[in-house]
Amino acid sequence: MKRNILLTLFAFATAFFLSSCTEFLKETPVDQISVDYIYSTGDGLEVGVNALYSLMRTYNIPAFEGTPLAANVFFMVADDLGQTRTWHRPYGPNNHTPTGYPAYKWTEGYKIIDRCNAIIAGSENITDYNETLKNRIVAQARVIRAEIYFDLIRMYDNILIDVTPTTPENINDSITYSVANPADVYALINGDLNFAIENLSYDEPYGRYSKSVARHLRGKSAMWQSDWAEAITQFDAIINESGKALVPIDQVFGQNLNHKEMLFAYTRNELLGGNDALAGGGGTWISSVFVQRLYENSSGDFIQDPEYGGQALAWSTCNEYLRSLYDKVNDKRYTTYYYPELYTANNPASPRFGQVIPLSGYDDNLRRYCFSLKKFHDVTKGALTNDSWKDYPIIPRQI
Amino acid sequence: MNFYKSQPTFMFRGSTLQRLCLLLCIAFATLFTSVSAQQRSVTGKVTDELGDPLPGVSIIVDGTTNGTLSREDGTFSIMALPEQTLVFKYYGKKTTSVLVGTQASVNLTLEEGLEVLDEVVVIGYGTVKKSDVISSVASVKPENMTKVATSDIGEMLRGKVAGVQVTLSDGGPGSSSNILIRGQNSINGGNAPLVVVDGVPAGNINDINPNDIASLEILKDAAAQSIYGARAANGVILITTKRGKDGVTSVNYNGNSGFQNYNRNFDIYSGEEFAQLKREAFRSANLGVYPQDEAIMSDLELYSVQSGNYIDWEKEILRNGSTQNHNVSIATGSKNTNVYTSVQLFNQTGVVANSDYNRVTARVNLDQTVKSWLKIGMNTSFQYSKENSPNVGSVLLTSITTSPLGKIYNDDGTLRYLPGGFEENKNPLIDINETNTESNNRNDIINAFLDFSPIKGFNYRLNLSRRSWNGKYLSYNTGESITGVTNGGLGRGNINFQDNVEWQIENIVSYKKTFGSGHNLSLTGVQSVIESKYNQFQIISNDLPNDILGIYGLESATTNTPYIAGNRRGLVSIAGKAEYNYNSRYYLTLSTRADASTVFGANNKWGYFPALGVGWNIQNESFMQNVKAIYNLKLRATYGSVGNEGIAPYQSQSTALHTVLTYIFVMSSSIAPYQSQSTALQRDYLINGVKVSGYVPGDFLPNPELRWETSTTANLALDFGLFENRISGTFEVYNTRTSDLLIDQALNASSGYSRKKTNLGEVQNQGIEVTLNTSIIRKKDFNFNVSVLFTKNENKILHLYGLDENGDGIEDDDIGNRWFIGQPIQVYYQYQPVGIFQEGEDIASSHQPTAKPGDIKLFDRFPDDGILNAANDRVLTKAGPNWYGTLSLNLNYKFIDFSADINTVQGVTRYNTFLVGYSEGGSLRGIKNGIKQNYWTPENPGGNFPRPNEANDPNNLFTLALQDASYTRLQNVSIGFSLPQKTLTSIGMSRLRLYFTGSNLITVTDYQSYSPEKNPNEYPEARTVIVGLQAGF
Repeated sequence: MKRNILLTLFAFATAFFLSSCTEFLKETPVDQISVDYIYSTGDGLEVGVNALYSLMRTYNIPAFEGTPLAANVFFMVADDLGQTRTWHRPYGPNNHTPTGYPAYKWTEGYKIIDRCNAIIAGSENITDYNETLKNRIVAQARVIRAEIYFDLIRMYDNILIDVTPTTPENINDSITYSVANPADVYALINGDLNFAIENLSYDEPYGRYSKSVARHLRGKSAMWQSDWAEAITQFDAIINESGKALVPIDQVFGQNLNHKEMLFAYTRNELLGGNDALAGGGGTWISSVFVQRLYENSSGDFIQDPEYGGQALAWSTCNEYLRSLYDKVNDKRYTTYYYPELYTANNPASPRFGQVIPLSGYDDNLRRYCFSLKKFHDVTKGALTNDSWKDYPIIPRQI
Repeated sequence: MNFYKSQPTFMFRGSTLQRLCLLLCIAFATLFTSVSAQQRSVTGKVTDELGDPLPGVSIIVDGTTNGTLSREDGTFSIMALPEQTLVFKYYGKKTTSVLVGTQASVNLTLEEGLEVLDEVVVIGYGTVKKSDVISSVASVKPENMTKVATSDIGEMLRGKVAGVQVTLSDGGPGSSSNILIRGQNSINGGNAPLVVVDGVPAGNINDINPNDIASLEILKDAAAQSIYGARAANGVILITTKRGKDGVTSVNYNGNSGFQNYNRNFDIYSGEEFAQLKREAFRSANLGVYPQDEAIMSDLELYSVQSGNYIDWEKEILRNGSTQNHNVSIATGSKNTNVYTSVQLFNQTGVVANSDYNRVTARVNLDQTVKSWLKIGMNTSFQYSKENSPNVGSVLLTSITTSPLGKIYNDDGTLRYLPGGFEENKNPLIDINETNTESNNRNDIINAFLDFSPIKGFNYRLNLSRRSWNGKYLSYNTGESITGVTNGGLGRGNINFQDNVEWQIENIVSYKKTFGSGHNLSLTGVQSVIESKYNQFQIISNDLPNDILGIYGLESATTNTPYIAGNRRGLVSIAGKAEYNYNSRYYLTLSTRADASTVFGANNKWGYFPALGVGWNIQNESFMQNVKAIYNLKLRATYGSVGNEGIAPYQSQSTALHTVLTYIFVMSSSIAPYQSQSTALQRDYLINGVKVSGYVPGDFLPNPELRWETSTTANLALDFGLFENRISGTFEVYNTRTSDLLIDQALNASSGYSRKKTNLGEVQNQGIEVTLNTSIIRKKDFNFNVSVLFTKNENKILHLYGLDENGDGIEDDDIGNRWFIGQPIQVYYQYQPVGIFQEGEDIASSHQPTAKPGDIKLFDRFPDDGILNAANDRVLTKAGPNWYGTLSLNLNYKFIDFSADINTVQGVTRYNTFLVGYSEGGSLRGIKNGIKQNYWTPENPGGNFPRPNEANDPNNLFTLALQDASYTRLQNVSIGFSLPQKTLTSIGMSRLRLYFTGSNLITVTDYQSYSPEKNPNEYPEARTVIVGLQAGF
């Protein structure tokens, strides 16, 4: 019996030894890094800023279909130069509301601003990192913050200012929401851009914000404040100091955007991509949105061909008023940035193969034939897909 | 090309492996079988009241594990000492005890019995007699489960227990169900019950073979559940598997085979009707003038319209499926060693072409008595399944929505990419042939235990287990698939390996003692540690130059993107229970459990869950002894709390790695890790053509204060049996309040975060459950029983954020999430259609002044305000159900048995996207086919759906989606023919039964789908008809 009791005690002791639980209950993520690392180390700040570029790419030119694309197209066509055939219907009563299609630009904008705030605030407590490198990182976060505030105030007019990063500790703090004075918004924008101009160089690699970008935004901001002298100063500086120069019109939005006129473009690469969380991003549909589906014409004269935009959507199109503004013969923008009025039949099975089809040969149907935009044309896009991995120009911008 | 046919297959296709499995089982079984006979032999014969021999009577030497079964002629032989007592048990007969004494033979007649009250019921960490149960524990008889023609144990439980609502999760091959016990307690936390098999938490209820189940109990109230603490708030299902019996060897086979199809209760537009819909849609978009067919249709479509040759996609895509299910078990035992082994093979070919499912499950349960005070045992279970399915999650969708106009094949006989010439309708047959996902799942459980009983009444059990799950998914689209064609003829593939290992160590002490005259005390203590680790590796490969090696050629892909994930979670627990009764009349139970989980905030790791139960077995009072009409009467009441640590895994902000996954993995304890702390998403970028790494916090703000969700339940019940138990049943009422709800709280978007997992609010579930069994005819050769189950549960949100921003003294609702104080969690809140605007109607003066004739007219709560107002005009509709119930008939007449179950669920509303969605063909644009509706045209002003329009979906179309999904279903009908006992005896068998079963034969519902619980694009429960054979030796 004594032995049995000893055995029992031994079993209990083993059990409790195995379950010494303070360490056991500690939770340590193995496949993710902690937010603390991003905002409390120099290396963390760098990966934090890299992620901001990725977020901005999705914010302004998202992959595939969905709410982000709808929100962006909303702002592209909600003027008197475009029209919409279907899908996002920006003028629809249910869509043209604060919670409708444009909402994404507000909520995601403030999200990215918060992440910029976190980098800017976090950097102030980092002392063991090269000051120049740190300022270069913070400068990029501040350009992004300024750019979004600049977009928001132009889109919404009445906006909020928030420069404090949200944390679990302050989320429940009482906040009084009040419309920011535009002067305060521009002061914030100017401050951020001035800091960036000081700390960024003209020679930043392709895909990263540079002093040129900061000056460009600062100049535009000055113009919105009617400070024309400041605008001239900034733009002159770009022209005279940056080494940037104009390129022939067919190259401006051509296949390779890494050229002298391009101040900034969002980069993509199918080989390094798949979706927007990956370095190369996902395929965008922007090159299909504004292009007719020529291949659907009932004549059977056309098949999908990358030269004519391949597979397309024609969800929104340019309108005839826009077309009427161009000198169709002499304006190179008209012949470069838009598809032509008449096309050569490209279906080998058609009896008219190789012939130019006259106007009477196209269906009276916007989806199949309309004034189509070629600025986003991607010569490498597949014939049967909407996906395009072409870089997307921001400065200069197409729409 | 059919690439998958060239892949090696490892499934048990042929008979060789089946035989091998069987041999292994037999080897295991016989290895441990050795008959020992050292005591005096007692022989005898057991008969019924008519003198017929009773085979299979359980005969046990009381207080020991020594036992046997009577033979086919009713005779038996057992070793016993003169001072020992033999206990004879047989279902339907009175349990009878006989002192061995000096008699050499014992001949006994078992009387017609009403022994249900003496059945043993498994409860948490122990067993009690059914008559002593005072908490809410429902038992389901295994034989009532396995007669349902399905592989899904959840489906087998449908309609079997009051308070347990089973709905279909996935009716595809290897189907699964959602089990909801006493309503939805949690808003964002999980609502799935904890499943414990032989003391080990299971990953999924279908990890085990239903034929292995010896008993299945469902713990419904807090008194029963609290011993499982933090994981028990959604109920607990306890499964005990079969074990070998002393001195008895039995071999059983149960197999069946049958076919399956789907039954839809809607029509889609025929070819002519679809062409007309298209004309109407273009007419609306063309200012009311019909364009020529040539202007709106392609040559291919015109061919169909002019020739009358339309495509019936349903006929092309769907087929009759088939099922096969074979189960062999061997139970054997000697004085010190008992073994139970089984193998089940299940095979299903899907209703969708090129889909199939195979599963093999094997089990070995072993008990070994080492010393009188030491026993050891082991339960092992192994399951492997393999499923093939085309990568068309939308295959049922496309069978409905693909336009019937055009040609399936090119002139050369190959499948035409765009049958109608428009890209909205790609040929669904292509991907059925050119894509495949092979899903391999392996589950195994090794459970070893040791029972140590140094003192009478005292037992210590060490329970160790390791459960592992391994999923391998191989998915491939050839260059000729739809994605391949759009991608320039390049294939793509995806390999996803996931595994989870869960260890458990439990120390369980129990002590039972009877004091004085009838004071019975039972004490149980449990200490437990569980640790679970999960790993995933996935590679997504795009642009494969050729399909020569299929999935095994991913190295040649242009892009290979890996995803790697892993996490760990753990639970530490201490629990105790004290049960007392006085002469089986007055009962008192106290239990509590303390749990600490890794997933909660550092300051809130521990949760404490106590419960109390009292019972009064009135029937055992002396004043009731002369009340003959009442056979059983017991009143019981319980109160206690249990916890919920769970939301579904991998839905948190930390799951960027999982956005590409389609496989859902259910863990037993299920809050996603890392929600209490800050982790970052990976968001990479490209600078100067070079990849740079980026990390950023996601949309979820972490919450370091996250803690348990707690459900507190009061339960009151009356068990009764009248007129020799001819009428018996239970009335039960309960009230459960769940507080500190794990909620995804919406945050102000300007904060930069959209949601935060937090604890707040309170939800109430109160309900009534009625179980009524009647034994209408109870004769030797003729039994007829009717059972009725009724459940009504009312779900209500009591509190949310505690805010009253408008100062009206009433707590604010969360309209964005559709959570309303005083209403159920599941509601719809949207505009209500009240008709279609007609020509000549004064539309301009309505609250929809811009509407046109043929548009949907919406309910206007305040006609005087002149506007469509989201705050005033939307209508709240409960999703339900109001109540559900089951009527079961069981009839035995001589060698024929018959049973039928009719289920009904009433007061359910569902959102049917097929009535309104563009992709589902509901939006009346003449682009995709869909469920046929009576749409409005100027010539058909009586149409109740709006006017079609090719350019855009009709305004407010979504308001038409709500549809009554109540249903009544003939769930199961089974008829069996058994050989009489005398005949069986003559051929050396104990059982031979041929049976026919039909499941889901008839469903009456207004819901337009294949199933009232699923939309038409989701796999419904199949209508299944099988023929089967049960044989025992």
